[in-house]
Amino acid sequence: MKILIIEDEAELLSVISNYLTEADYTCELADRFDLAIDKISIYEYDIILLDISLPDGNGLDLIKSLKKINQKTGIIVISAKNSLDDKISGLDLGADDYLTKPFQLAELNSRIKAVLRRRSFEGSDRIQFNEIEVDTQNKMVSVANLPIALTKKEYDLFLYFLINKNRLLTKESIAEHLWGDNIDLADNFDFIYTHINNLRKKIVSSGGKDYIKSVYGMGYKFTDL
Amino acid sequence: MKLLAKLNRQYILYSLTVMVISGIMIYLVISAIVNYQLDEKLGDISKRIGEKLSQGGKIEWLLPFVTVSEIRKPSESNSFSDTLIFNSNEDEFEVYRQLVVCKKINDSYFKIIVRESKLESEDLIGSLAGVILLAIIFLTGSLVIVNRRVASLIWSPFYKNLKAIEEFSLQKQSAIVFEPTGITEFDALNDAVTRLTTQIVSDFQNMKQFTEDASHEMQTPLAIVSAKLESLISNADFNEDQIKLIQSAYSAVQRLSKLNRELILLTRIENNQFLKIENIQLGKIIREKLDEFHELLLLKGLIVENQISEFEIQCNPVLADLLISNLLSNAINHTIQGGLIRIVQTENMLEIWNTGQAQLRNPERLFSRFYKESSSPNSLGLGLSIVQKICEVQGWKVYYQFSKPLHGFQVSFKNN
Repeated sequence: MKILIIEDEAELLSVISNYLTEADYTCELADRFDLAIDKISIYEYDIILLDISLPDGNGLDLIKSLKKINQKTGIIVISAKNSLDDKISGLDLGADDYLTKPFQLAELNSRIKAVLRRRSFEGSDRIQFNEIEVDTQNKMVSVANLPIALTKKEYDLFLYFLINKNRLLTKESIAEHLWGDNIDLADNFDFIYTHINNLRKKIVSSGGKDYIKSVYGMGYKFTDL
Repeated sequence: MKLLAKLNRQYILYSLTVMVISGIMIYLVISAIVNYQLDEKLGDISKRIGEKLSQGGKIEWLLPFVTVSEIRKPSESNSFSDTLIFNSNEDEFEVYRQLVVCKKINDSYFKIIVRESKLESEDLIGSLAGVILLAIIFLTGSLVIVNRRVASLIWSPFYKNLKAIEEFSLQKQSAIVFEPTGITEFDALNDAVTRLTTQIVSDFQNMKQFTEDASHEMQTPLAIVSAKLESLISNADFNEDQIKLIQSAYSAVQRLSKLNRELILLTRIENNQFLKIENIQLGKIIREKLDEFHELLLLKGLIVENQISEFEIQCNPVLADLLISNLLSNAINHTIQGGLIRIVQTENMLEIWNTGQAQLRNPERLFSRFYKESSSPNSLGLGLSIVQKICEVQGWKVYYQFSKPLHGFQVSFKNN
């Protein structure tokens, strides 16, 4: 999978590209508007991560030109401005998703995967992991071909783990993924703990292995031992 | 008291005083004139009587008008005075003007008293005074009316501008613009107020702009720190102590990011950046949110009592969503395990009640930024400020109530 990251902040650019490279994506970088335009007119990308506030041009214009060249590329807009107008115009122009800085890398990964699932036409709406299968179309999880009943949040949680497997997911990142960022929930972490326990129980009782490991009280890791 | 009423009241008060004083003066002056004329007339008559007496004529008495009597020695000289004399025909006392004269005629002294009734002249004075008083009253009345007209004309730009000042709000972010009044003092006042409000508005905007810019500028560095820590955590092998250090740094950064985001949100609500108004079915949003919080409610064993109606309100969809999210998450946060959340929605009112512990210590500070009633470390203390800010920009009112054991928040949608 090829990703173009357009971001003028060098530090952020490198940390995103490192993260995504480790997740087996091929990353190309552009830190200027004109460079980004050059790249999208020459190469094809599966996903473009776009910071819309570039010093030498508006990222929204980039979406327009991109849509003229290639309809298939998925676009995720990244912005420091939590501005609804930018969000709406970005999505109207054909961006697939919108992330506000600062964001969790795991969340970014999960959004990229979601866009890829939506974009691809090769029936990749099924994710297989050992004895567990997730049908993203119908939001169903089955263990050894037997569907298990998960609540909506448990499903979201499980998918989040699966997409970010072998990575430590912090409690903060899980909370934000589940409840959104504008909600002030005091007991967030207790809720997460209970959710994860319920999820573990459901999988284990259906004959699955417990892949979710707690890491130093910091977060959790979904990993195949 | 209104300025015009006050002016009028003063005006009428002074007019009345002037009227009373001038009435008295008119009476006195006319009385003096009448007396003077009567005295002339009486003097004339007494002179003629004297002449007739000196010619040896005899004077008939005509009571009470003329009395002549011979006296032995001269008494006091001429004197005018008023006197009361009983009129048997009318059966009442009447006022007479009398002149007592002592004259020496052919070596004998005569005391001549001539009188004239003042009845007619009193009538005259009365009617004259009445006419003049009527004229004064009419004049004053018309002056009051004219004054009121003129005053309301002159003060009307003042009232117009006063209204403009009353309607001034920092929310609108525009200085007051006055119509020119054509009156120097008013124009000077308006200039001063315009200068003042322009300054306030621009200061306020600068301050807000600064807050917003600062918050936005912080987002990228925060994103870098957060992402670096995240990759640090997932890549390297650390011992438990090191992990703990990294974790607390990471948690603090997350908290800061969240705080920053909420502050930006507050500023954006304050700046009226959520403009699009739609017909919103609040009940639908509440149901969606309850669905989203379903697991949380289950985990805490909360019972939700729901009396949602299908009324629509006029609101920005994002704000409606935020309002419900924050009120509900607040209720969930503060309800005791196994407690009750009651949601009541009517046409003009949304009420969200939850069972809580004791009464709040500082209910009046509940909506202030960063105020936390409990010492929960994970709460930012901004949720209710956001609720209040939303109500403020929508022209709604939000109240807190405690009726044991329920804490309640009421949002009244009535625009004042």
